[in-house]
Amino acid sequence: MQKKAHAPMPVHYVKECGAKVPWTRVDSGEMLDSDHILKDIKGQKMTYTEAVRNALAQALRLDEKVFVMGQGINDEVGMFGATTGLYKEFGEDRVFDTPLAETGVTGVAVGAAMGGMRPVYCHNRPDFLMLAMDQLVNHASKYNYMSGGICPIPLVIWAVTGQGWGSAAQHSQALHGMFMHVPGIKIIMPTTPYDVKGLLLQAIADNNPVLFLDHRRIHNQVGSVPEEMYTIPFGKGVVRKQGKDITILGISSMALEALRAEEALRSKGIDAEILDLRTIKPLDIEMIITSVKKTGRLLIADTGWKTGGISAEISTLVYERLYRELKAPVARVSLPDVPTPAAYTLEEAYYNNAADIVREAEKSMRSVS
Amino acid sequence: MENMLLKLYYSMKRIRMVENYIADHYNGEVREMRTPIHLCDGQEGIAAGVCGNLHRQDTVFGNHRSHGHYLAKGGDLKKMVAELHNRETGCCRGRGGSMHLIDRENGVALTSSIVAGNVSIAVGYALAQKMKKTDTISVVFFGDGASEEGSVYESICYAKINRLPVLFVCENNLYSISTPFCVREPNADIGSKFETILPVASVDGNDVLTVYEKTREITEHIRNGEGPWFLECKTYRYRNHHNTGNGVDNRFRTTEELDLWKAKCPIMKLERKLSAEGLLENAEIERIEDEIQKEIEAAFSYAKESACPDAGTLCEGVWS
Ligand SMILES: Cc1ncc(C[n+]2csc(CCOP(=O)(O)OP(=O)(O)O)c2C)c(N)n1
Ligand SMILES: [Mg+2]
Repeated sequence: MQKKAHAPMPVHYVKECGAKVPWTRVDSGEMLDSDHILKDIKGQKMTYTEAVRNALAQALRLDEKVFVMGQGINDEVGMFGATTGLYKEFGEDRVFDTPLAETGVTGVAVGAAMGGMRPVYCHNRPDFLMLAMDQLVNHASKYNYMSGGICPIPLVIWAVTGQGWGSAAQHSQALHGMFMHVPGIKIIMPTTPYDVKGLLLQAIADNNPVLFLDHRRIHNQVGSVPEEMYTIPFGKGVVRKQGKDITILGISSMALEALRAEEALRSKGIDAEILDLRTIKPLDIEMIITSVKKTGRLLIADTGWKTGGISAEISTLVYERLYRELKAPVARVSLPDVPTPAAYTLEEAYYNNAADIVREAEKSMRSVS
Repeated sequence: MENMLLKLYYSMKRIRMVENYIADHYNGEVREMRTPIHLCDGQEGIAAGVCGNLHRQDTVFGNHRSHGHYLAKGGDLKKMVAELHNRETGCCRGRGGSMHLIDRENGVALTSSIVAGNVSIAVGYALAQKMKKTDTISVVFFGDGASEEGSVYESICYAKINRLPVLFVCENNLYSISTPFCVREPNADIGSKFETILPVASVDGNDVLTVYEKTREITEHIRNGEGPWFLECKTYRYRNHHNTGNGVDNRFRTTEELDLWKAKCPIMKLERKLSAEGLLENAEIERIEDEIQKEIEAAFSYAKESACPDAGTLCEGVWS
């Protein structure tokens, strides 16, 4: 489906848009307290990025093999707050700034991982990882297999997908679908403070290259995070809310939009089951199958492009297993095949939110087989 | 020469006033200027001095901090301001924003927000010019941070071995976002990294006259088919990496450091020289400022009165 044939914008639109979403906040999205979906977690309330920092600090403290690097990692802000002040506690030998040399420094990280360390290499945007593709795709992902298992690469690459107010085509790309194509790289995309801590600690403990993809719009989440170290296994999604009518599978920030959509759908008498995938590779296909068996309907809400991406992959997996049990074709809410436009009128049409999920879910509900 | 000095002065002054005007109206009343901005005030001497030597057909390739390159090369101010306002009348029809400015008619080939992404493209553009036997040259502007990317080395070697008409201009402003030069670079300057490959000149980027004269000499060599040159211009930016603050508020540098560089302002420096030589009266300065101010205000009105892209056109333009 090509994206949205919009009616022309009303003239007053521009002004309204400015007032409705003051642009300074658009980037991080609305705040969501994850405690209402994760009811029994005990711990200190913190933001998503504080949970990232908490995990990094604990890993650095526990294991001297861990080190953290990236451009601007030690500046005052410290990677959106996720690395703020870490170098003061752990020293600049273990938490350090890197030059603007993604190709080479990724190779350095791979080499350090081979050499017995556990590097975490942080980037502001996955767009910059395109310079690191050779090392990630041709090297990091290959050596364990190619060596018959004697050359594992325990490496974490952390990057934050951008969205909002004019980030435009080169600073906003959600590229997980592309990376997913490559065997040998694990891909993690959490949404809550609790999950990010457990998954990041798992990523650092993992003996493989792990691509850890955050999203600017989830950075504002708050929630309870236990003080002790814990890990969340890869390949395990979560059911955020049980329902019987339609399965809505959310990826990264779209999992939060799915939760918002769920409320709206409930008021329309539709009982949606909300799944948060959390880890893209390995993929929790059993969770999806179990849910879709129950509801007969699936909507996939992704932050990336439609063509050749994760929504296409999951749809196929579901069709392979549940062809006869589906009550409606798999619905997809994803980005149209267009580079991100800068202008906010176009940006608004480009990105999806809860309303788009609601619309597509209702459409799916109307289709009867 | 006298005329040229005034031109350089005007060019720098115009860039400075545009940047300041943007800063004053950013995040303020003009909420619709929703684009991440990287202002270049403090560095105007380089854009003005280099572009002062270029012909209309010569092309420049910029980066995320390219308002100055665009303007100095003759890019349309109205269209740039409209682009910052996300308008359909913008130089990229609102699709690009502040970091992606193009005015092909006036030789602004492209600007890229992927650091160093523009460097190899400039080399390829020069290759095309050589094949087509035009006598135009490519000029690529990039920062000290960008010079650390591997593709810069690859591009420079390629340009040299093929004797391509490229001028590599490195604006060394001592910072990559908030990371200072000294923790990223092994040498005291950038040029020395490349001097075994191609001819390198290192100049004071805050002295527009030096930049201008050095570039004139270099571009003559390049136009003669002698191959690429590397010009390092030492300079400093007055603002934060992006947005409008002054860096001191971000605590990545000290007020003393900033003041030191403010005292080396390229515009003030030339203004003093021109005044001392009786070439620029105060009344003339006022007249220039007035004229530029009017031009800027007209550009902002134009932008604000223009329509935003229609959301219905979102999917148009992916293919040529
Ligand atoms: C490949 C890539 N890596 C990282 C970034 C993030 N980034 C944008 S500008 C910048 C600093 C650039 O410094 P420099 O080249 O010196 O230019 P300046 O901003 O000082 O003008 C960085 C790290 C990017 N845009 N592209
Ligand atoms: Mg710099």
